Amino acid sequence: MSTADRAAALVAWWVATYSHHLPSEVAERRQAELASDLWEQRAYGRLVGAPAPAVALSILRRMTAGMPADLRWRHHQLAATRGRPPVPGGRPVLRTLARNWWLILAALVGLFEVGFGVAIPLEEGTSFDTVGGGAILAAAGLLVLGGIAVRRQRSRITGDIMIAVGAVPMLPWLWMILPPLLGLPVILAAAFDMAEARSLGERGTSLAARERLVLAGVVLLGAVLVITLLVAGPLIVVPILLGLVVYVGLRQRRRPA
Amino acid sequence: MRRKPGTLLPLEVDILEAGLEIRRAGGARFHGFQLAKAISDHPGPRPLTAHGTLYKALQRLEEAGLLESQWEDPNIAATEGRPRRRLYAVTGAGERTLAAWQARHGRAPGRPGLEPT
Repeated sequence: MSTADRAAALVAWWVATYSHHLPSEVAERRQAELASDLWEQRAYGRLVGAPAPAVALSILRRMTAGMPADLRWRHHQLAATRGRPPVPGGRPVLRTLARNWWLILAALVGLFEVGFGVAIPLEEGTSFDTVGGGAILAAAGLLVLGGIAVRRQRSRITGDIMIAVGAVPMLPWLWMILPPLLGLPVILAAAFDMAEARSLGERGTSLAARERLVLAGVVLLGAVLVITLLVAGPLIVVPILLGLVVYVGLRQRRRPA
Repeated sequence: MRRKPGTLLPLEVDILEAGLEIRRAGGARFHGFQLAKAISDHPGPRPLTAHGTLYKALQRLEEAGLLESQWEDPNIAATEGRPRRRLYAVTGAGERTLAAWQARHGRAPGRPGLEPT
């Protein structure tokens, strides 16, 4: 048995697992289609002389990238079997919630990180550790919130990456229980969503170099603001805000009517 | 997923385009791996479409009437010593929907260089 055959056996096991308890006609069709696909891919690999490990890797990649779609498919099939719509019908609010629950969690994570990033040094005193840690946490929160906006307006994949990376600082806070409970589902859901978007070929509008620079600048500015706020005290916000108002006002005046 | 009629996801566009191209190249029907291969080869090399995504999209397109499918004759598969293929074809509605999508997005119909497998 070659490595490609072993990879195919693993896929067959996965298909049998997620099609378990589905109507036999539906499950058998999916299993038979996959059996054919796996056979064809290995046959093609032999035809073109591809090494078995490369074919195995490709088979495994196709399996893992398709897992979100597999699980959604199972959910839809089960719902259809029980005569229920796959997403709650009726009120649009419920439908939106069913689709976007994890983005609501992500927004909570972002706000929590920004809030805690500011609160930690204020409560525990301004040392290098608390200010640095707070700044990183707040920057991560801004990354999550920015990711939600980018995902919606530009690129689902880029936004998902930003959300997943930004939610990572929630994980080490095991002693508080709530942050990892919020962070882990967000990271998993973002990874799930990203895999689905990638496999659906949703490339979105990639961020231009200038936009990436602005994004990095916003995160950096957020971190600097938090550090400045914590080191110099809350009153420092006043000149910073005044500076921002003057800057925006000057830009508006320079813009032609 | 609730969508407006006539809207297509990028993968669905790829499937319909590849299916029509295979037909133009002489293959009346196509199977899943053949389609994944055709999509991955054109317009430039990219990874084969994931199993779950591909077959879910095929089912969705079939339910929407843009594709039709049937199992191949088991005798042919037995003779060739391989599992039976599920063979798909783009329907008239599939062609029209794709043409309308291409017109809306300013994309020229057809993709060069696909060959039947």
